[in-house]
Amino acid sequence: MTSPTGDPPPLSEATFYILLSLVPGPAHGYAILKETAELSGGRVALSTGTLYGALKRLLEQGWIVEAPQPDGAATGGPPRRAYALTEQGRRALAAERARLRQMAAAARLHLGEEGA
Amino acid sequence: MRMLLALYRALLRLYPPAFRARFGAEMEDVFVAALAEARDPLAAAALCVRELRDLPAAALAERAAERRNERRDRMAALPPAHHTSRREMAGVLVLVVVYGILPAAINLLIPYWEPPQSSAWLFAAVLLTPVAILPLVALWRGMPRWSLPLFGFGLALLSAYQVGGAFERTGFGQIRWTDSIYLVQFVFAFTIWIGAPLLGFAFYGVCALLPPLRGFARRVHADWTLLSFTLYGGGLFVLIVTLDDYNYDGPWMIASSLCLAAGAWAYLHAKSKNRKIAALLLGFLGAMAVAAVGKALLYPIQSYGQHFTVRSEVNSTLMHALWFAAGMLAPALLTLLPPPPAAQEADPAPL
Repeated sequence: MTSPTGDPPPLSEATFYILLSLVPGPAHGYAILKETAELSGGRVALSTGTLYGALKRLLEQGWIVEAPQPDGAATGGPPRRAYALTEQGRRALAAERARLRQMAAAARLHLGEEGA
Repeated sequence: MRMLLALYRALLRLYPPAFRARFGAEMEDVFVAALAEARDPLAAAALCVRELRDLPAAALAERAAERRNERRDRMAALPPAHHTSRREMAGVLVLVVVYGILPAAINLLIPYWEPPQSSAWLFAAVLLTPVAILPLVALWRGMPRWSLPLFGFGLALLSAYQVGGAFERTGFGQIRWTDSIYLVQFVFAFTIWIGAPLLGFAFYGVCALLPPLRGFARRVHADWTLLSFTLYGGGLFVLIVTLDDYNYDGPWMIASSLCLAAGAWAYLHAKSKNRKIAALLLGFLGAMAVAAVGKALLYPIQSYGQHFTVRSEVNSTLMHALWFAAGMLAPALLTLLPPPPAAQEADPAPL
């Protein structure tokens, strides 16, 4: 999905942090949940419903893919499913970063470094 | 903990089965892990409140998304334009039978009969159900072809009463600068049917704007005869207007309605656009020709004043037929336009 300018549409805060949490490498659901809370300074506390709804959409969009993780097998439990960022997902994240940077620059220009 | 897990599992059941099968166990694992790692009872309580609050809403959103996808898939899987099923033809016949054949047959069997007060609601239900229920079913199922004439019937009705009424208010429909009844009929037919193609294009535009109906708009864009077929349903209303106030018109109404049904059948079975256009034109003009013959034969037993003659009555039918046919075929004629230059360039040169 792209905007008329060809860029991906602006991301929701939850989607942004979910994608950001996958930048270091594949992660399973619970790790994403914790990382999201940490990255946002505890401001974005996702419920499992919101998290998996977002993961499903990101899988459908091709921004993330499933990546089986062997740690579940090592502990004898069921293999945990991990999620990894795709190149398309990275591009969406980069576009969002550029958008946020532009917004911040505009705000700096009009409000100054200290804000209004 | 056990109770919380049972409650969580119960809420998971609100999700569509496919979603649950794919993510259900994983979500439960994450919930259990998050609960186990909560640093104090207050954090655990906050987690539970968040989960119990968000899960039903997220589940309902997933169900809505699934329904949207199903509808999109169903529209994509609609049969190709040349494929006709009995069900499709039956859908078209509902309109012809309920508004054309049934009232005429009742009038024929029991002249001047009106439903008794006690069962009036039943007859109202029989007459109104197709216009009230079938369009909703059609919208839900992605506007299949069988439903299109039903919408056309409504558009013709709007054209006659709303657009025609607007002309009447301006005085344009009641020209006073001529005594020629033929010219008055020519202008009158124009004013009441010009709205049909305009409303038809507006209908297409609305469908193109509304995401659930864009599939239909795309199908029309690929085959404009579909919009003409939509307007073809209005042909039945033209017949009703044409034969209005004629006594003993039952057999002619039935014969005209059957002509319209035959045209619809031919349209649904036609494989090329030209044949589809021909089917619509012949079906409608055939129905109007039958009505014109009927009016000419019935005229001597009507009690009209001297202002009207057999010729003026036949002329009136001809004018209705002319203007409505022109409007009905306007979208289909778009298919006969040459393709845009880019498409022409893309075509390989003939060997």
